[in-house]
Amino acid sequence: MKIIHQIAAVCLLFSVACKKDTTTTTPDPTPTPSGETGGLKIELANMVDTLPLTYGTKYINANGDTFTVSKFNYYISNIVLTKTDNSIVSESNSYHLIRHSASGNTISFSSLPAGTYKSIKFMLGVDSTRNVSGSQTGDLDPAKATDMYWSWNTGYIFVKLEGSSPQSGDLGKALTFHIGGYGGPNKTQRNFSFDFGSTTATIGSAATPTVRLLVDVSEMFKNPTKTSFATTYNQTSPGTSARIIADNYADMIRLKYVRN
Amino acid sequence: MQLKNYIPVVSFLLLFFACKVDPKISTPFKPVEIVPEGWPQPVYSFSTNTLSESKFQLGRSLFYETMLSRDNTISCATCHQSNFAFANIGHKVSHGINDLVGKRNAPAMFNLNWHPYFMHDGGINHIEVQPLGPIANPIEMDENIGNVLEKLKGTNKYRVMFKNAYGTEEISSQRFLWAMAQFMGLLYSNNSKYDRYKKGEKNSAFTEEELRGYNLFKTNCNACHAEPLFTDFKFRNNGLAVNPAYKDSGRMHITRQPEDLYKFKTPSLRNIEVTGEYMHDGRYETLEDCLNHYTDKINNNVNLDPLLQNPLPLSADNKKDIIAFLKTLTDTAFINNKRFNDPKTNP
Repeated sequence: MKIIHQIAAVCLLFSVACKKDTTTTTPDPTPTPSGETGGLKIELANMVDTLPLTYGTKYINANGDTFTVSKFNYYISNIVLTKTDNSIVSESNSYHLIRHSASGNTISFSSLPAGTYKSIKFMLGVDSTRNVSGSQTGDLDPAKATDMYWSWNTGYIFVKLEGSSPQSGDLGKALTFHIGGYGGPNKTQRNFSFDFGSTTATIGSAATPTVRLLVDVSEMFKNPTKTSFATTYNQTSPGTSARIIADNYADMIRLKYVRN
Repeated sequence: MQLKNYIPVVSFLLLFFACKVDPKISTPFKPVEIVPEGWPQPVYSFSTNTLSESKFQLGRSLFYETMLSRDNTISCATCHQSNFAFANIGHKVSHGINDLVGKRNAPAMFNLNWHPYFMHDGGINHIEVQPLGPIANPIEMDENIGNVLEKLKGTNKYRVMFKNAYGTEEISSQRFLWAMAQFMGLLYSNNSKYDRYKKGEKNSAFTEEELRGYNLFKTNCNACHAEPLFTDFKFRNNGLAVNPAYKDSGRMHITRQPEDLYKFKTPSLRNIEVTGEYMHDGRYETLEDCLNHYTDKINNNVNLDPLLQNPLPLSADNKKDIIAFLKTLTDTAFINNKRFNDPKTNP
């Protein structure tokens, strides 16, 4: 009998351990005890200036250089929503790797506490903690995000843009921007915060509001430092040059609208 | 009564005694985290990566697994050999896939839980993600971790081992890396003659030569190769002339800061007797060469360490004494530990 108890205890421990594992990888926040929940869609519309981003299409940067894009990936993390009563809903384990897709990019929440929401904030990049804490899961799993992870200089690539430009100083005319660096003066995460203004998002069982954000690639190369692809075309490690691009992309995401 | 009638009885008795003599034979091994007396707290503990023998054995098996490389020829053990404290004997720099040659000497591996970062340039910041470096490096294993996991999933052996370790057959990068961290983190080396001498154990008194060497060490070497781990884990330029074949910028490769140019992580001197060749590019073959460097060959590099602005004042006799002391840092129990050998040949 005693042995059976021990086995049961071990099994219980195991099941608890496994349970815990799954909750840490589930992106949705824990619903409030009040009960009613609802969904929210965050649409990320990747753009170059006013044009939708399409791989292979020719665009012109602020410096007048022509360029095309073949890859655009980035991390959105630590999403926090604020209700009109100032209560805060934070997504746990909030890490979303966005790989540009012609059919659109969406982060969907299915079980947020019902209520009226007035603002959203998040980070472009991955917080320092997750960069220094060993092996990760979900969108931070290095096996799933191999191209967004520096194995030789530990850390995630926060924003990755590849393409080409006839003006590129590279022999093969390539553009390679792998921007990361999680700490110190050259950290490259940037925080965004958007107030929904008069159009608050009403989340509940009846409706799933959409928050549409514009992600403008051209901002990576515009201000405060205008980028000439003749001299800046290959940026693949943390440091001052990465930070300069990050200072540029600090305003690359804008709120387009909230639709209920 | 025939003699052979006694055989079962005798063998039973033998078995009984064997158990008595070495309880490990009958008790399953349980790996435990240790912090030897007088040592600082380790940087990594197994708090979120609960130790178990099955995870350790999985990590051990993976350490010796050539499927980690693109063409299934290179394992971690190719460059880190247990009998040489996991250094790469006979190779100045490491040899990877397709006979490609690196530019750095494969470092020895032990007491890794105390390392705040890994590699000669400190580029890897956590023991759990350390294996991802050599796996991805195009001149080492040149493989994608996702492919490694797919290859492992294709084997009955690893499906069983992952299930034994974690309860299900799922093979994920985190399970892979946790198991490897258990093997690497449990490579404790704390049983050298030096350790026994410090504890005042019987038959572990230093000879006069070793004692003179220890005193010279404390005056001349300990500032960087600090006891008890015999490294301060800092990045330093120890005056090695820049090797024109590699032009290795060292720590600056990671930080891009000019003040880090030609700096490398101070290596531990534990087991130094068996971990040659020496220095980050394996340029020195003997301990004598190393000590001669500090007395005669320090190059006035940019960023030369302030502690090495003057050559170390060591006579030929002093060097002999220091080397005698350094040999007390050899941990034969560690380097001969069969639990750290290839499980295919030493199950």
